[in-house]
Amino acid sequence: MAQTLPMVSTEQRAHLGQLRIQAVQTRPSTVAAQEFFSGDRKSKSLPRRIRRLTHVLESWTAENGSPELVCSFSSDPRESRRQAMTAAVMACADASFLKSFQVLFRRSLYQRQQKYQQQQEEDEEEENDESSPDQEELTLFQDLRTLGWIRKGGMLQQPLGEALHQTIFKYVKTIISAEFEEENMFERVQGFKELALEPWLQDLVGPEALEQDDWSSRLSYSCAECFCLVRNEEIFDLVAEYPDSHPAVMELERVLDRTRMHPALGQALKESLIRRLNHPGANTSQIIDVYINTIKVLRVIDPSDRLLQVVTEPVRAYLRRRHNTVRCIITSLTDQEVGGDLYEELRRQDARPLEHVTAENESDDDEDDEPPDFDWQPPPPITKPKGTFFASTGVTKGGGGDILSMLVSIYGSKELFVNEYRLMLADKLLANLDFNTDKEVHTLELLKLRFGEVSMRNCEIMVKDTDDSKRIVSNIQNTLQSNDRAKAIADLASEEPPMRDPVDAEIVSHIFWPALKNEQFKHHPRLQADLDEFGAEYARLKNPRRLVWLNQLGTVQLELDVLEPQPDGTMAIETRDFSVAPLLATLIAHFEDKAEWTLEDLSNETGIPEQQVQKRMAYWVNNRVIKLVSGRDQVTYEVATTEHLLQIGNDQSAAFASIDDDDHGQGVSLAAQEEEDLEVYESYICGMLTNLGQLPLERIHNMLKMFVTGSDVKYNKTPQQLGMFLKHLCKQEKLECGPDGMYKLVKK
Amino acid sequence: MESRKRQSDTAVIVPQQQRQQQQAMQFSNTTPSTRSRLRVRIKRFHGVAKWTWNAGSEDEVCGICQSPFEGVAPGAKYPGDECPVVFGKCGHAFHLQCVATWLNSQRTTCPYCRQEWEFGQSSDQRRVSEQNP
Repeated sequence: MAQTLPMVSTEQRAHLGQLRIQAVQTRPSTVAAQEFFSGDRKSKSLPRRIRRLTHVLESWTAENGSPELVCSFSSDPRESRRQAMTAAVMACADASFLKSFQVLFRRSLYQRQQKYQQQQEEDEEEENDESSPDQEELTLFQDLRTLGWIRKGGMLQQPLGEALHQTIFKYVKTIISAEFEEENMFERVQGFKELALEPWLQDLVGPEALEQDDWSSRLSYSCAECFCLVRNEEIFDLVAEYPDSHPAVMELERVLDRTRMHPALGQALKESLIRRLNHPGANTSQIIDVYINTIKVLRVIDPSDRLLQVVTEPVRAYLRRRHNTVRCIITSLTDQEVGGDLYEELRRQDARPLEHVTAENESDDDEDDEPPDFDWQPPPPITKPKGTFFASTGVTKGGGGDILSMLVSIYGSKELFVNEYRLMLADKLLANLDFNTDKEVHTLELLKLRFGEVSMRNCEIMVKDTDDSKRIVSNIQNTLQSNDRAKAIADLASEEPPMRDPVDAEIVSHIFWPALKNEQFKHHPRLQADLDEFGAEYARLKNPRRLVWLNQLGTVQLELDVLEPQPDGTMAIETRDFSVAPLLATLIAHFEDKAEWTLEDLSNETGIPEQQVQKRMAYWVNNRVIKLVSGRDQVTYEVATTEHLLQIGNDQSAAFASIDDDDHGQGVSLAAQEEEDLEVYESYICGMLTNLGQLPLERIHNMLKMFVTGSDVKYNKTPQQLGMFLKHLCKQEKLECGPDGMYKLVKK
Repeated sequence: MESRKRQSDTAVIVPQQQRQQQQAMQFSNTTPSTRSRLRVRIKRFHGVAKWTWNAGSEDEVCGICQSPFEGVAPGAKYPGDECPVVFGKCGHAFHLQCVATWLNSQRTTCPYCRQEWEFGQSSDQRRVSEQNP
């Protein structure tokens, strides 16, 4: 050893240094390392070169190297030599050296994997004899062990780990990817680990090291980790396919329990939700479906709901911005065909009333009222602790509630939903021609359970109106018929009394219904007489109540005959059935009296503008019952010839016109309702502008918010809604809006 | 009765066979024409109507509970039959429940005009009380 040498002069020291360098250069390890990396390495494979290196190491005894210059790393000379060799090799190695081992391991592992899979397949047929491991490979592993490179802390640990991880990941991916419906996937992965990876490792590191370094549990964890990673990649599909993917979700939950990779999973899901859902191309109902599935899946994975809150927040925020979200939710709640999950959700046995929900964006304002909570404790980590210690406190405050309440809390107010349901119910009831309300009553009862009886009052009255209408209508029709019969007997008419136009009506308590369209027009006298007769009978029955017909609404079922005299004296008849809005019925009824009408006359007759009449008449023209007369100064309509009617008449179904959806069905519009709501504020706005001259939208909005806080009227509109209303007022020439966005009163 | 007359001369609704005979007859009587005609049969008229109590203009409210006549008085569940409107001899109208509460509290006058309250008839002289039990 250098330190133990006697005192030496400077020259001696320099000489000694040179000697030492020489010694290092001629040291077997250096020679071997240089040989290892020498030029002809390409011709020799890595295993062969390792073989050679090992050979050098084994034959390296104290005799053929100057013993005093072998650095002593350890008391064990073998170990010292081993480390000297490793150091020498590493000193000569380039960056890709370790990488090449990774490739080597992976290739070897791949072969094992192939063999394993083959065995798995053959297993069913016959017990195959254990194929002997590759002798060359075994020698290589033996050499690596001798060199000490693969033991714990050895230089090949990292490439080995990488290779194992990559192999497991690839294998897991091929096994479980997109397989959501099979159970015990993780067991298969474990089987691979036990039957392929562990034997391979045993060959590589030896049985003792396998035991000592706890390779088995390291591999298990690696398998679990890869399992989670693969699932993370496809978490969106997993969610989208729920509940078909239930087995996979259950398994994922089990595996996550081991790896605690919940945050990574949450992040992956959140990102994919944003990417896949938050764009205009996604259908609102699809977004809601996926959102519901997300809730269900995450409830399995993390019962504390906090992962859910983090993950779904962007989707909730996005849904809040979509205009038809509420309608979509209500539709799927109440409609069996569209509904699916939500339809079932409403019908759950354990339904609880929705508790007070506040909008997330409103909750900030309310916080002032509550005293600060000094007992606040940080919530436990998302990852569920092992065992069932915390299981009882599964649902924490803030989360919780069922799926419906999660949906309602997107907006924070159930009134919004109730109102939307009311609009939908109104449409449904108005289109309900057989007065059958069984389904509505059922849905209503369920909604009452959730939203509270008081909120559903209006809807209840609406349904009751329909029920009552049914009774009243049959009562009136009976009375009218018996009147007819009595009359016929009195007149001594020989035949049965002539059939009357059957009139029935949906009689509404308009206070409780949403704003209904009510633009009046003049009915054809014949139709008006029918209605008057019905109305008079109602007045007799329900004195002193009166009926006011809402002419825009309703449905008329018609049978139209086009009669055309033939040259031979017979009459050609073409018959068509239609179901149309009352206005269309009135228009066509006029053609019975007179076969030809000008647009102007029709407009005068019905009391609606020509433009409107023209638009409506297009329906009859399109259905070929009426045609436009060409070559006149005025727009003129006449009854079509049978030939004209028959041009498409071959196809009965096409001529069998359905309800004109342009002016039917949507008897209630959200816009109309909103306008009605806003009309209250008109006087406030006018007063404000009288006093202050001109104001921008923002100021008007703020002032309304400040001043309109009475018990009856509370200003709760968004600036956008107010903007629409102000524009509406501008159109009515009550206000004007300058180019600078200032609103002021129109000077009379 | 008027309506029946109207009906018989506008829409002739008879069974199919008869109708065709009639058409042939009609046709032979009239001057020959090649113009096609339209016949409209209404199989069903499903209208929509709202009811009112016919008590003054639309926005008039019950003077006691300040809610519309077509709405419900406090305590009543459904509008209409369950919450009738009654007219006093003086011509003022209130929800039955509202005026009953008023009269039960030892008062006998119309809340509006202070005349002695007597159940009367509505403005168009229809009888009220027995129709709405």
